[in-house]
Amino acid sequence: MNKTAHRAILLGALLIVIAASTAVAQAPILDFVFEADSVSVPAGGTSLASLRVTNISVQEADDIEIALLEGPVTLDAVEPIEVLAAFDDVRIGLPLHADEAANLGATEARFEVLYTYCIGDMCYQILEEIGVTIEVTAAVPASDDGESTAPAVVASSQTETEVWKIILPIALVVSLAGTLLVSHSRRRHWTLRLVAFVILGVSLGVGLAMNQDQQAQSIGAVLCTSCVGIEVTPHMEAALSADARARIATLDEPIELLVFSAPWCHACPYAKAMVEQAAEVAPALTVRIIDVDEDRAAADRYGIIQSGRTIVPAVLRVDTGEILFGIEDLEQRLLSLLEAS
Amino acid sequence: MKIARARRLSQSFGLLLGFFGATGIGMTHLIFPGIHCYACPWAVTICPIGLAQNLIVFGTVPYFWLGMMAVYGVVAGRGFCGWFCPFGTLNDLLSFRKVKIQRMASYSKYVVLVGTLLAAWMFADTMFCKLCPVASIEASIPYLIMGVADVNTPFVIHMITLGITLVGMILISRFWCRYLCPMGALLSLFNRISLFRLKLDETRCSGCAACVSECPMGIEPHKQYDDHNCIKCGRCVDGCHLGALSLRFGLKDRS
Repeated sequence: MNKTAHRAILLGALLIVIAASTAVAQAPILDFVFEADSVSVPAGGTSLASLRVTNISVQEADDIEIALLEGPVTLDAVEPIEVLAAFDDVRIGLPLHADEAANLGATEARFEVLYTYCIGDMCYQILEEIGVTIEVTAAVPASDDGESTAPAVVASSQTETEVWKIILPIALVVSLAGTLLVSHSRRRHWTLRLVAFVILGVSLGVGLAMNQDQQAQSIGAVLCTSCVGIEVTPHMEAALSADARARIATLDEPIELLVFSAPWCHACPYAKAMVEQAAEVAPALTVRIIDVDEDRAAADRYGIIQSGRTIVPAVLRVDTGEILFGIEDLEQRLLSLLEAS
Repeated sequence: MKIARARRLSQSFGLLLGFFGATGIGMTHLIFPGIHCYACPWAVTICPIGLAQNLIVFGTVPYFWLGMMAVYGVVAGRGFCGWFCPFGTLNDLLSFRKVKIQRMASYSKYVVLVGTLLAAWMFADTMFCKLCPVASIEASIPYLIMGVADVNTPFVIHMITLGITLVGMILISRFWCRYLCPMGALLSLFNRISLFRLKLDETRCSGCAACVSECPMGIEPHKQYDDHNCIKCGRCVDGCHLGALSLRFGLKDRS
């Protein structure tokens, strides 16, 4: 290949990158989905409508505010979400209140969402409208109504990406590679090499911009014992035996337990449930759950990090410093941990 | 002999990077260009196959992973298997019988790769890791010694897969790399366009097949020098007395 061809290729790659970034900049960056097709609100009562807000871009979204435009209900004030990081998502509970005199039946409610995002010095304010069907039902007895002062933000979780977004890039690379497997043509190899370079550059750039290297690092840095097959992934329900409950109930010394977990660890919910059940029967027992993704310092301080790797699930007895890793035979090990003086 | 020595040095470097955590340095952002369990207490790099499964489980579009795989693929393709991968090195050390490759069976590694990714998606779990013989050596055994793990069903399963792989490696040189390695499958896809490659000067080749008896992958380097099974270890280059084969790095095909 001569120099002109090389320059043309570089220029082409640059144009693709510019076009891709422009497309990203102009796209709506938040996606809104109500978790139920219709929300049922009792007349004179309040219900939470669960709205999942997903940031589908590499930019973070700021100051997300939601207001009701029209509908058979009123929306109690919802705290704005200050920041929604790239590719993160959040579930918001919208407290919807129906008047006692409200007409029963299903009506469409429309909400207005206002948020901003910035690319470099350029900031954009986006106003979007979303809707959901509200079904006002007959009033429920007052005792069932309760105070609907549930926190507005219910939970933040891993992004649920549409499957095609994962399959498509992999399929692209696999088909490229498949061509390489069967092809012996040198000219075609040059074209494919070029395609590989473009995929390489764009993927790496986007991945780094999305901090996927950090995500990868945190996956590597936390050892989930059931994930690599050091333990069985628990499918059984966590339940302390009656005998264990009776023995734990006799504990009278105050003991503090820390449970180290990660949101994506398969064995952690089991460990958390077992320890929480123990705390229910023994008032002297206090339990703190620590998310190692968020509080690595605590994991480091208490020796949960071994050889630079945080091991989850781990249960630590604070006063003795003894640690239980994993969930294998957890009930028995928990008993000996608690009964050791 | 020069290539053999350089390769030993490079493989040692692979081992050093693989187990650099022994120095106390924690996990980095680097993806390992070979198969190497990130759960290993001494690992400072991320296993590409383990990461890919986790990303599928999380539902992350794996841009960074794809980019890194493309970088490794374009730079050396399966050269990493021959020159860098610690498990490849173990395969090398147990290479006693250089039998001919079963061509159809060598496609099974793609089945392993696709199966690994599909299983992660279907079961929302890192299924391959639970069988991976690399994890058997680098995670199951160390954690048993460290007292984190017990001899339980997953441990036994790991020991069985490790046992089968070791026997395979002893009976057939580079058994794991030939037939089973999903990372090898991934890198092999780039083998034909990688900058580091095996080159054949057909004018010098007499067809004596001296290279064939040297090849740990059991291919015929003088006929299949750009084969997806070639790990570019260069043993055929050292074995060829006519200098018909050579290892090259770069875009240009210099002869």
